[in-house]
Amino acid sequence: MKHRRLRVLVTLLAVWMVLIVLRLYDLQVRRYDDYSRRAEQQQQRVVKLDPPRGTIYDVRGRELAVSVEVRSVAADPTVVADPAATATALAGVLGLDRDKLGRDLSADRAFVWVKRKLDPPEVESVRALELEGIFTLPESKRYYPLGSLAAQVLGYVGTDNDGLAGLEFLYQDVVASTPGRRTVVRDARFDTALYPGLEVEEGKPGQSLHLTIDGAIQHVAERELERAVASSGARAGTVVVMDPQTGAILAMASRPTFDPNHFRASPREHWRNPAVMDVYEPGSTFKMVTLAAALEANVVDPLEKIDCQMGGITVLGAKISDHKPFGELTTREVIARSSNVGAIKLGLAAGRDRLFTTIERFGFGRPTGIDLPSESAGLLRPLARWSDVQPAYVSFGQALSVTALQLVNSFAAIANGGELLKPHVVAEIGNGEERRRWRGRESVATPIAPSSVIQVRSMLESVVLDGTGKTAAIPGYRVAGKTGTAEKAFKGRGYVDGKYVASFVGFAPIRDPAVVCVVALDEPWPAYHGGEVAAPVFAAIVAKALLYLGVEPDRERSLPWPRAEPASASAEVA
Amino acid sequence: MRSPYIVRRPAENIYLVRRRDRRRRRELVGVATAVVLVAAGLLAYTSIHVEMLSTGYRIDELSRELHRLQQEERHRQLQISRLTGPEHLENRARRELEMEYPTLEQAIFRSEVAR
Repeated sequence: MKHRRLRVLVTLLAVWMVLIVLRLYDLQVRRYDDYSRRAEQQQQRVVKLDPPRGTIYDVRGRELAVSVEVRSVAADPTVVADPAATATALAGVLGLDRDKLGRDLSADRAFVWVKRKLDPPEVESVRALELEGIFTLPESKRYYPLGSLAAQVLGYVGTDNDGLAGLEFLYQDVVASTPGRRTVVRDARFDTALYPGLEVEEGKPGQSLHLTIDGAIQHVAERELERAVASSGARAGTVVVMDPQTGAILAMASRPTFDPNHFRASPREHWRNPAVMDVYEPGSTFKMVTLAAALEANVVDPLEKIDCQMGGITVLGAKISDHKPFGELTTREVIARSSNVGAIKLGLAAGRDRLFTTIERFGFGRPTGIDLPSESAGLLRPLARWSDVQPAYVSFGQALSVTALQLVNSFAAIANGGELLKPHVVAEIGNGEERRRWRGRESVATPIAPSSVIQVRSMLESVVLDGTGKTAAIPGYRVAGKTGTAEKAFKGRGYVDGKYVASFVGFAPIRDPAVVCVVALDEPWPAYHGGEVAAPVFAAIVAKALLYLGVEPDRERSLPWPRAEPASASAEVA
Repeated sequence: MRSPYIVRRPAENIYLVRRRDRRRRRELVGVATAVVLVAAGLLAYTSIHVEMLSTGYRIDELSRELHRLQQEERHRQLQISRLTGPEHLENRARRELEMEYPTLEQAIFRSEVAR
């Protein structure tokens, strides 16, 4: 009897164990894949790795654009108990539309954005509310720590960190980071842990841009431009400062401007970069090109005087006048005093073919190739479409349009001995040891022979010494340049009285030019001549830039040392 | 009780022995060894797994802390960039130190010092 009971018990136990083994087999072998997958879903979580976007530095290593992590507020509407009350609380703290937020929080979705990329005080305010269903997520935000400095060059990014303008747009593929992902295990308390063997895909941070822009020179240019626009009553202004020996852009400023941290707060037209996008008739500053063409054509006799016909000339029925009556002037005086009649005679003597070729070789009529988006080629009619009177107009800078960058680049060719260079803004790309040269000195053409360069430089110096550009003089340095006062033409209306673009473009010091600069003011009034309003701005910017760069003053000084009395605005301005 | 038929002798239990079953003993040792080994193996695996998980938590925690500190440093760097920007410096220099831009006369060039 005893044994029988034992046998029954053992049998039952054995059956039970067999059932367990079968069940284990079913769970761990037959359904291994299914339960494995479920366990992974429950226990593992994929975390997105978002490396930062590349930083943009100026030439001295100052950060101009950086990415930092900030928090964004999101909601899980399925968990929000009282959408209306939650919306009211959040709208008050974040300044949002309460009704729209209320609708979002009532949506049949598990995730909605409330507000993205908040500042830390806003995040703390939201956290303090301790609202159910409301949480924060990390996101990357682009900051421009120096505000509007070089804004039109840098550009800006959208909410999802895509470059929308400027360098941020053009170099999007370079500065954008590559996201990564990492799988972590998650427990019942939603704590996470790394575990070997789980998938890790390291992201890659964006590459940094190292610019040629110098923050200090940029700041000086912007500040002087701001003052000039305000004092002259101009509606806009542009300054470009360049190293003529390398083509590196040291500063590029425009007014009005915007703050890329809050670009939507400014009108869309302020986001443009007029230095490369906007064209204007260069006026008398273009006489440098006419002079170069005449010298290359060997039609300039330094001893010969040109009859400027007391301020008026008629070319094939078109009457063109000077800003004041001139009699006979040498070529040097034609440039120094900016005689239109004299320039026309030089241009006609050079011949339309030579004139056109020289214009082209100085880079007009095509983009310079600078690494900035949406660069304009300017407006230059093909030679075949030139009217008979066109050479006359072109000779004194009308009937064609140029950008400020094209103009300063052409003067850089005179400054560096006759080479037209490709301007550039980005010098190097990369982080740490991977940093590499991106753009450097690149010669595009040789528009003028070195022997002609010397003569052009000398004549451009006359403009500043005793011509229309005396206010561009910088004590201690020899300066060469040209003033310009161009009438503005409007579509359908032609040239309008009282509307001018006043400009000055020049370089210093003459013996070894370190800086070339253009200043252009749009519609200054009542003073509107380049010598009155633009040349002093050039002097203010370039004087500081030369000192900052440690450029020694000229020994063959054209002005006495120490500093002479400041030159007063001359009546001879053009 | 005294009796001539009762012989008193001290009990010597050493003569009472259980016969050893060597086979069963070997089986027992084998099973015990196997159980101990398996248990030790399971324990070792479990403790390694727990240790790994624990280390994983710690790594994740440190990783988040590192990330937080990096972001904090980045924010500080941002502040430094802003405070050392040319406009901010100029405003403070003018306002607090009453400084002005230097003139050419105030500049001393290296070549002049060398002479």
